[in-house]
Amino acid sequence: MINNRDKSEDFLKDFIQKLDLESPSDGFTSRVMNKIENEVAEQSLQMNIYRKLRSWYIAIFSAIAAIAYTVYYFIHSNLQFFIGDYDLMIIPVFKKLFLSFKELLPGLKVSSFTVVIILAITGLFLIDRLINRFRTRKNILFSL
Amino acid sequence: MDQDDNFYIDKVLKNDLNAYSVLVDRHKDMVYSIAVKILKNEEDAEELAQDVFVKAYQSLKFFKRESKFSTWLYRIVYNSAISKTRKKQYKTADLDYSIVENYSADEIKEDVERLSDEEQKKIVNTILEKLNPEESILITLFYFDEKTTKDISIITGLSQSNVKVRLHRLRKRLLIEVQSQIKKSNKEIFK
Repeated sequence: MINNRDKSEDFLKDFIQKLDLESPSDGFTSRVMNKIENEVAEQSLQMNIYRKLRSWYIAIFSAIAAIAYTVYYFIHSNLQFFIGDYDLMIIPVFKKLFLSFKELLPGLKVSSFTVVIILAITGLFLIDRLINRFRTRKNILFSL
Repeated sequence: MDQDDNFYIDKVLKNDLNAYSVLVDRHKDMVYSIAVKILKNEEDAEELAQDVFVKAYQSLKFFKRESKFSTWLYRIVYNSAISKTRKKQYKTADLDYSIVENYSADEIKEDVERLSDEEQKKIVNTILEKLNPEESILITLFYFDEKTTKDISIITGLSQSNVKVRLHRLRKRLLIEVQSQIKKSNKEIFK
């Protein structure tokens, strides 16, 4: 049995549906699709830059790790490996640099290895900032 | 045969960009209608509708299919439009309750059927314009798109019982308003 409420419901539905829905202007769909295509293109460009930068990060990190290890090795070995091949004048310079850095923080007792790690991380951080600046600039260029 | 939205969503997720244009075509009128009812400005509504479709495309991978795609999409447009107009205060036009009488739906229907299609459309338009954006959206979703109260609850963020109560009140108001408009229209005819 149809009650009064259902009748009202049916009537209102039929009545309101007499009015058409508002439509956006012509070409709406193609404008949306153009916007999306532009977004997709921009995103893939950013992904490419990111991938390139990622390989740079790995290369830089490896280089810094290698340098840090070499410096550490220079200081802690008795220079037996290098005596024959390297200028001895340069070795004390490394050592002095390292010790003066440690003297900057006399109250802080850290091992030489920790200092080398801190230096490496600081170096990485600075490089990261530099690369970010480069990346932002490039994005601005491509978004125009 | 028209495929359902999920068919095209799967295609879009497999990087078929053209499949998304089918979804845009299918839902653009409703998305635009919701936007225009809240923003009350056609240009702003069209811009918002475009942005919503772009936003929906970017978030499609997060669509869990717990509701219909249209429900998810209308929720995005509803929220975007509401947040754009958060500071605005809406006033509801006062209804003429002095003419409230116990008309049955059958009686009103008979009166309406005596009117031409154009007159009927004019009356619907006048009535919907009198509603505030939220009421207008509820009516559009419930009567135009035939969404369930559960879907409307998801779209608007209102509780399901709240949606039911509001729709019940709106139904009464609409019937009153239809009757009032018919009376006005009859008066104009006999002038």
